[in-house]
Amino acid sequence: MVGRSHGEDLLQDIFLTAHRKLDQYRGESSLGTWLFRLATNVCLDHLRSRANRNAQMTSEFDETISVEELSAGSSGPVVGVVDRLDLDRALADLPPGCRAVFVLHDVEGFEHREIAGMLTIAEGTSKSQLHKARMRLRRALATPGSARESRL
Amino acid sequence: MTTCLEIQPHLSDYADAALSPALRDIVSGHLATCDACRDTARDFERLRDAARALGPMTPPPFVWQNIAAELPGARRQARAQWLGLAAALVLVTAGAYAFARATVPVSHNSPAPASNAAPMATVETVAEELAIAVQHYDTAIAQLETVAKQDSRALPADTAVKLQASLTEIDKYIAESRAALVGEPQSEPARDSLFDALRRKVSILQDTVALVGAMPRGDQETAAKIMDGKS
Repeated sequence: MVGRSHGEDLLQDIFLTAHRKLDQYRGESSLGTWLFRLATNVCLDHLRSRANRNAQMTSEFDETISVEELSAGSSGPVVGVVDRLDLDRALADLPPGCRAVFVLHDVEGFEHREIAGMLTIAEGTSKSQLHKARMRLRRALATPGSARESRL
Repeated sequence: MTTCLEIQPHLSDYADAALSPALRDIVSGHLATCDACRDTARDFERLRDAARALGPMTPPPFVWQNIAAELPGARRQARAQWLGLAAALVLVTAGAYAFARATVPVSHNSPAPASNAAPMATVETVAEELAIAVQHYDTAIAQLETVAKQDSRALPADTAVKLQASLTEIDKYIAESRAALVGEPQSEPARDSLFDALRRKVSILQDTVALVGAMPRGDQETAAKIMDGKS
């Protein structure tokens, strides 16, 4: 099972889980937030189980950020026009935690406060994970010939 | 004098215009003299804009059919809560699907995007799938309209007028989109336009149902958020 069909199976799991747990929805948050949290948890559970099989994933919300991830590096913009497929591929290579935050924040437009509620993490963790994701994507999508690329 | 290491943790918030005025001034001052940090902030903006442009992805119709097959009796449930959920599910699908799809590495020889359906699909199959997807929306909309009309008496008059004006406008847009699709049944923009309009209508109806739920509880804060489109 690869690629798109994998996502479709997960989507089906999300819907069926939502249906099964509907009576647990108490109205503390909006229905949309409750569903996003549920959907994200189903996806993360899936990734955890896959990681257990591979036995090589660190905590999905690892707070450790290397100097390189923090550093802007040399001068010169490194990201040119972002190709959709390239972004898809680079996203797939991100660790699950910062990928979840990036998708919820930059793709879906949620605020850190909302993401923290959905993923049950601190707001500061959501911010640091977004920074980490953006730095990694920036490196992954470096335009050939840019200052940084030529340095690497 | 600030250093790059002090500034860099704030560059994401700076790119998102989410810093306090005082901190924003400090970061702006640093960026005026530091090319590297300025380029990083600019790249963050480009990445965010590119990510936002990915937009919603609609799963193939067979996914709905599979889910429906797993939910015997779901159609018989008439509670407003379930109908609200159905509408919310439509809205949340794009995001969940986007994340779910991104949980597996994309092969460099990856198949066509979801909107292109299966590679071997015939024109007839695509048309059938489109019809099923539209029917799914139409059914959800009809159910939500029933609930919204039944209980909309609980809404203040000015709120009901605003919602009705939004619905009238979106109905006009849906009619135009349907007409465009009849003229160009294979046009992807025409399809996207129709689905976008249907999604917007579901969203308005979902807000109506949520408002109806918030009003009797006197939950004015929730009601205000819904009307502001923030809920």
